[in-house]
Amino acid sequence: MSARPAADPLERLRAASAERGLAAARDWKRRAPDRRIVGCLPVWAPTVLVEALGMRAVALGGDEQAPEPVRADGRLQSFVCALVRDVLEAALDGAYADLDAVIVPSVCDAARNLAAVLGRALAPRPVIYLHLPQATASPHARGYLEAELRRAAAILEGVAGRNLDGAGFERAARDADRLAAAVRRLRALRRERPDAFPASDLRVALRGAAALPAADGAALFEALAGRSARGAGSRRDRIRVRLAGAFCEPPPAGLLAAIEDAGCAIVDEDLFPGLAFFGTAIPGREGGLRDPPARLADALLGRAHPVPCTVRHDPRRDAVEDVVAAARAAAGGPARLDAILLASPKFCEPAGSDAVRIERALRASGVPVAALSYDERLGAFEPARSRAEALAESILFAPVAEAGP
Amino acid sequence: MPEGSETPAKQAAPAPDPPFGRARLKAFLDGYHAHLATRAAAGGPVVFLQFGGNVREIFEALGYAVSYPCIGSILSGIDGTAAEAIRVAEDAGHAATACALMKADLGRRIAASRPGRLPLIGTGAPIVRPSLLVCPHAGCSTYIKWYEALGELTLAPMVMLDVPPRRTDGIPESDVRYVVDQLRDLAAVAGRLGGRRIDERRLCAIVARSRRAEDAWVRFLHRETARPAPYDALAEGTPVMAPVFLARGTRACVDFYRGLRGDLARRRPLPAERFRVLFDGAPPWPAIDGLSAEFSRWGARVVVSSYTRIGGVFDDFRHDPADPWRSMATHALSGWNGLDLDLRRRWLLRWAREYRCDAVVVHAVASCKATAVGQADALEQYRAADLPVLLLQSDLVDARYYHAAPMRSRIDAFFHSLRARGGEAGRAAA
Repeated sequence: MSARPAADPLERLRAASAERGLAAARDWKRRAPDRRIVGCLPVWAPTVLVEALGMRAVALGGDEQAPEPVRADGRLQSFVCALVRDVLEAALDGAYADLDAVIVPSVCDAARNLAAVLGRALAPRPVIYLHLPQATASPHARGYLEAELRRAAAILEGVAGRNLDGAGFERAARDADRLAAAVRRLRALRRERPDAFPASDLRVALRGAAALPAADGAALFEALAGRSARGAGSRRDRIRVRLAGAFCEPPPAGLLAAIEDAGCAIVDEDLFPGLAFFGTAIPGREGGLRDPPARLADALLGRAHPVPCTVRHDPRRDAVEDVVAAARAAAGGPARLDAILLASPKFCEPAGSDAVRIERALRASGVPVAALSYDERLGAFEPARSRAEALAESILFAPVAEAGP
Repeated sequence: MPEGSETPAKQAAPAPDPPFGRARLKAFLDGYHAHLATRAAAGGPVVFLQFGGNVREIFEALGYAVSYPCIGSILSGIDGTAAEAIRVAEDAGHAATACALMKADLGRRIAASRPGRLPLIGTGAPIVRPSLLVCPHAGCSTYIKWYEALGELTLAPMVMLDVPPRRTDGIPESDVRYVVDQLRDLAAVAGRLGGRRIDERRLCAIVARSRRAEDAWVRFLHRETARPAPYDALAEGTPVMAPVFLARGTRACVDFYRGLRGDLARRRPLPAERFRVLFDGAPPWPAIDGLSAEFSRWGARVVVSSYTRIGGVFDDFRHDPADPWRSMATHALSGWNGLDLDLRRRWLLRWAREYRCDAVVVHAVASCKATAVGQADALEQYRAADLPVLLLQSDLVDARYYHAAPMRSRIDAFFHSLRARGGEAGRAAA
């Protein structure tokens, strides 16, 4: 894969997510004996360290075409999300044969135990469980995270067979920031004109980018943004909704298409938030931090993220309050937001718990809200379509309040 | 049911005495709850903690009353009111598959806050208003969402105590330092809120009492290595773990375990058990006595339970009055749910040897995501160690998941097969 923009960037990104996003990486690996692939689970992993060491980072999970998790189902309790099931299935059926290491960030309890199970299934390849501090506002969290990233970096250096160097990190950080900026630009464009690039295509594009080197993903997203800015897009009478809850296990593109067909333009969402680095950037060397783990720790904890995440407790910017505040602020404004669509993956406790709080706050404020649940292999979209249709109609055909005498 | 003269009902008559320790525990909990309610009513500072990351010694030193939301849930599971509380939480939007412990607590509080409705009270656990919420991210991520919801319901300030999981035998110094630093900050915040600074000498004395309680608790646990075991570690041993988690650092806690030791010395010896069982997982609190009775029908006795270590594996840890901050941090970093699965497995296999177990019963908790992944691997490891294993599934406090008849069928089939294989006492003799 070259960094040059493709003629059809969306198709290139779609192709990149084939075979659990591993096909392109496998081809790359087989071209030289010292190439290594590191699988990364959601929501955020230090892919920049992986790339700085000359390895390829590939996102695991989020695959619509994944086979039925027959083996995994026999090893898990009933109430476990589809993403964990798929990743375990892939590990058990040999689909991860080309991975040289896996990084599992602390997202939830199921993911934490999955790290241990993967460690056994993929041994002797390392599975790095990365504890991301939840005391985000504590002055001590940064030092801890720095040590944690340094530990991960040492293991990754062993996998790569080389040491992390400043030049490699600068290059990788630049690429990661460029990708994050390109994703943000496309999102900003979509907020203005959601018809120019459907959310269902955005889901495909993000999944593809998560399987590619950051530089390649950035080039393709820049091309997508350019094309969408030039395109006319259809102008349909739809309500503008924000999708919340899909930060880890993404909904199928077909589900998003069904929602959009039903009259809801998804103008904002929380898909693959780690790819855009939660709206933040890796600080440059001029900030006085020269060491890669220190710079990454500063990016993650130095300040509240512009895009908060459900699985990161941050008293400076709460993920629930962010959704509620955005909905209240946007009502009637130029970047209008008509409703919130709470899309929680089945069995996802963090998303489900936040949905309860968001729904209660929005109903108290009179902001329209609807909730639906899904899993990434969902194939029947009619119930979601009906719900989205009902939401759109309740807003589009709501009786206009009569003016006073 | 097994046939003939060897039917389990004829082998082992249920013990005529009430479950050991219950009366003493009830008196202890009544006192604990009365103290909590009185302090809260008088406007004294109240902090919410959990079993994981339980650094109660700090708050004891600062004069706080300490409340544990999970205790109200468990007690409501035992007295049957959890079902209504869970329904209230689900009506408020919580998923049927979400943590039942969390739903039972939130449901009790939501119901109690509604005008015209009597509060749902689990066996006397008062619903008090916190001055401070300390959310331990220690082996359970659900705590975070639970406490965020509590923050909305109670409007109390919240401090996050982030405790990294334990991945290796030794704890990295960076982990200990990180937790110690947070504890000192936490003490400063709580001190300002409660109007009292921490007195290090008082803290050392409290930590010393914690150590004495831990000594007594571990001695009680290790009595089960005897054959026959002097009590049932599921129905009798599990409930009496409450004081070492709820009231560690107090004289009442030390006195409780001293009294329990005396009670045990006076207890009539139990009949010899045919099977010694290791119980892995949280118990089904609404049916803990019923489940224990099912085992008794086969002469099986639970002699060790991983759940009694949920708030601390005191087998190899004691608080240290000479270094209270570091030992509180180490304790937080050593909670059962924060242990890596392989570390847990090693403990379980060690207990199986030490307590001379013939079999393992794994109880999977349907609504607990922290235990939903990795259990199959555990079963394989037990089998690899030549330990027959039975997997049961229900829930911690949600009685809807406990189905007595299928449970009995599985238990009967397992022990029937174990008996046919001559599994009883073989391992113990070895």
